[in-house]
Amino acid sequence: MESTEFATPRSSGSNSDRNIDPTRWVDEHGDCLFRFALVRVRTAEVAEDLVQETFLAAIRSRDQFRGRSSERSWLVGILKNKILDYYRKLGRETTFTDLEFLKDELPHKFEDGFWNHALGPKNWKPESDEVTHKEEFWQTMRDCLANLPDRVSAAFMLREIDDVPGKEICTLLNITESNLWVMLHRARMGLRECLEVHWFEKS
Amino acid sequence: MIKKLIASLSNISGLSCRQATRLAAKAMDTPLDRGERMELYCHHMICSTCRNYARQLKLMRSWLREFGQKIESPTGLSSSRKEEIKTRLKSEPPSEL
Repeated sequence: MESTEFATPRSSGSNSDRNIDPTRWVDEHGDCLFRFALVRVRTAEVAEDLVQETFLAAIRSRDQFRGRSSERSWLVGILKNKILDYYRKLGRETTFTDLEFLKDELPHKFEDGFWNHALGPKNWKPESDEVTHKEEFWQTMRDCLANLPDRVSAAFMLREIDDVPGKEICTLLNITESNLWVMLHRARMGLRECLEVHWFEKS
Repeated sequence: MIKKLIASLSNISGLSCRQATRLAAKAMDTPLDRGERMELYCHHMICSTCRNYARQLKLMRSWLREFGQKIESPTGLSSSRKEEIKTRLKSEPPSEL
């Protein structure tokens, strides 16, 4: 037994002699991993599958865990790779929804390339700090992100949430750079529009 | 009237609003060159709508970064799925040490 870090008072059951109890992993880290995945893949079913794959991969490679990092961050590391695999799979499929979504640059909001200023971006109030304390705001965020096509969302999440450089996203999703910029531009426009309509104009 | 005025002033700055939104988006991912920065700056001087747009892109990024760390949100793994995963884990053969 290489590490005592696994030995927790709650550890019990058939694996306690190994100091590792994988079923305890599920209770202690399952929800956290699930939420981490859900934010990035949006569908509960996909997130659950990825968490299951993560635990299975973890138990197969548990000997590689030497307690250098915490159990939690070791598992999150495995999960991140599972999410990247999922994104890669999305990159191999171009769907009609993508094309439809990317084509539409909110034409009704512009006149000859200029905002129709009555319809264009309003001043958001209240901004920043005040909204982020509200759970309803995050639910609106979730709903708005759910409108993005899978591949566009993958690109957008990698860029905005995890700060992955554009070139890496292109390789991962198998798209060109100009493709990526169009995707990100449209995702930003779409999310902004959705937040304005469903949050800022309502509150 | 005002719209016309903005349009003609923007023509001097060289950018339409549509181009300004694209530049503002581009600026989120890669540094703009001198000319682009100047064009966008001039456009923003006269167009509050595009100013809102650019500021909101930055706001959304900061929210999304926070969103990505929100692991204490209310949802969790369903209990049936937890049990299923536990069963699968128990049936995995013990690894060799």
